[in-house]
Amino acid sequence: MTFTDGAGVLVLGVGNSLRADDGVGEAVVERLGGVLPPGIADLRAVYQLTPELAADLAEVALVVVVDAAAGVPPGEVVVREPDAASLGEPFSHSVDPARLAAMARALYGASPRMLLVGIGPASLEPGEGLSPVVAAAVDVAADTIAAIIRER
Amino acid sequence: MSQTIVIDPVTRIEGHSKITIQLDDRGEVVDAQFHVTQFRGFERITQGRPVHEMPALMARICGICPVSHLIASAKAVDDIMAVEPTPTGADLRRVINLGQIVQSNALSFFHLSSPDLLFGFDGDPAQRNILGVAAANPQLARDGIGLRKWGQQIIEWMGGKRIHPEGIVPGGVAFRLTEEVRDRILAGVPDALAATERAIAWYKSDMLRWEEEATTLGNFRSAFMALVDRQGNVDHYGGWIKVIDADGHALAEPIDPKHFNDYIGEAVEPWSYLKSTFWKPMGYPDGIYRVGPLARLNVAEKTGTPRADEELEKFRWRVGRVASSSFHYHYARLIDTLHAIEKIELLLRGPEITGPHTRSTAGINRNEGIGVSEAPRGTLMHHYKVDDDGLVEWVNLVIATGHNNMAMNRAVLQVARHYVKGDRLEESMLNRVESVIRCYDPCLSCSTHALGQMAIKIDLLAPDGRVLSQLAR
Repeated sequence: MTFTDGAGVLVLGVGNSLRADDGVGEAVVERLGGVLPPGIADLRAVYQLTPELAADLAEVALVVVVDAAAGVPPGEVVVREPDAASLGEPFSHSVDPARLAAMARALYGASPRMLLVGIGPASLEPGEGLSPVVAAAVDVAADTIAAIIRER
Repeated sequence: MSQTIVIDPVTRIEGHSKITIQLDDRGEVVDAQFHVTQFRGFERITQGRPVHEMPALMARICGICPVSHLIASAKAVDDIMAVEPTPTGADLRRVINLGQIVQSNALSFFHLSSPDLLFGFDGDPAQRNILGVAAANPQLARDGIGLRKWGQQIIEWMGGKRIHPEGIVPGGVAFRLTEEVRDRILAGVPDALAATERAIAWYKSDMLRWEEEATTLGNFRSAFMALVDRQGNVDHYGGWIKVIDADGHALAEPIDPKHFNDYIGEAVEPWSYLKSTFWKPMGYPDGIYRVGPLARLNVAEKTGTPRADEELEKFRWRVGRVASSSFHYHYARLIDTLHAIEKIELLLRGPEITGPHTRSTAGINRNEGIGVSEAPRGTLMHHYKVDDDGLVEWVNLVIATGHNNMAMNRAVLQVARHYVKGDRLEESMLNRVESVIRCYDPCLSCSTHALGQMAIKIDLLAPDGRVLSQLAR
């Protein structure tokens, strides 16, 4: 779903809100909808990164991918650039951020800056709602992304 | 010594499954089975829920075709409420359903199957995916991405969300279509038509490369089933069920979808969670038939739209009036897509499409309801029974992939007999066995019994059941 339309910046909240903290990406883009002035960024919640998003990457200068990050302590927010050296297994339904950026380059000649914002999950079991430690990190992640967008 | 080959999981399809191939003492293929190995159980977990919740619950069966389940479910609840959607509501449902057809057909052809057609069935497995297509034929990849995106946008703009939209409700649709959204969708029609026609031209120019596959990938005589309109043309939303035999003769007068149970039976095998449906007058397993894009073109007189009808004429000139090879699902899927785009434009240019009357309302007026529509993969049937308070007591879902189950099994057997030699498993054989399954574009999530991405494993078994060889992804 799209929360706001905006030019120049695309924020993708990735994950499934029916898998507990995997919904943190959606929660962050919802929160950003209340933080950012209208028209500043295109905010979207998606279940996964799909090849179709390559066309959208071609229309912006900055892409922020927000997702639960396995291996990060619960509630901790980390920001990094995609690692092109560790491309995931190619699959036709979903792609990893680096591969998506590569597709945008190959198909549309686009090279937007891409940043990954990861939030460590406490639970990825079936069920709605974020665990308290992850819910508390939503504002931190949203403020971090807002700062990145402001300072770009 | 006889052996069994198992492919587990099958890749580039929707859901999880495996394939078992049984060899005899001489190493000849004697049997093959396509197993759906995961269970979901929507027919049970929805019991006790208020029936007006059913469309939204049923949409959760699948992330690829939520609209198809929304449509069939909403129609079943229409039946329970004893109402017809308003004309505008029905046309809006048709447009969203066709948007679903476009995006799902694009996923099947461009993302899942075009890698085989582009790189060959013996090509490097590392290349055979949409990313490989992007590198080798960027225009083809851009066309696939563009078509899928446009179909998804139709669903999002008209249904509220791209995945699991909420706009389709009992009685019609929840939202009025604005002129702004209508025009935004219409603006994408020329590009969508051009992309599809480019793909058709590319496919036709390359067809001769695949003569052997067209002969061996699921090429057999069977009946076909699809919905048709009053003129006998393709109808993805309503109309009548028409079933023809392998020579094109109607097996019955056009059937009111509400009476499908009189003609369609369901069988269960112990080796799969996917039910097998059959044409009751011929019994099980003789009553084999196929559904989906190939069936829609075989069953209908025409598509009913000019560009698609022109391509249909060429299709029939090339592959016959009733195409028997499952390989031609790919070609048919492109023509089906072309028709869907043309039909979307026709419907959106209708004078009442932005009208205010989008929904009929009523309470529980019947204890039983049936809804039938064409999903991308074929005819989809939802059948519910409710109590006087509208609480769901019983659900049966008859899914396109179930209709095709016997055909897929027969196709796997045919491919295995042609390509499997001796007791050695080779990548090219594995890919051809998978690719015949991909022709049907099965959705195992939609068959209510699977979740996630499909993977494949082939086991080669000895007569005593020992696994002699195994290939897996």
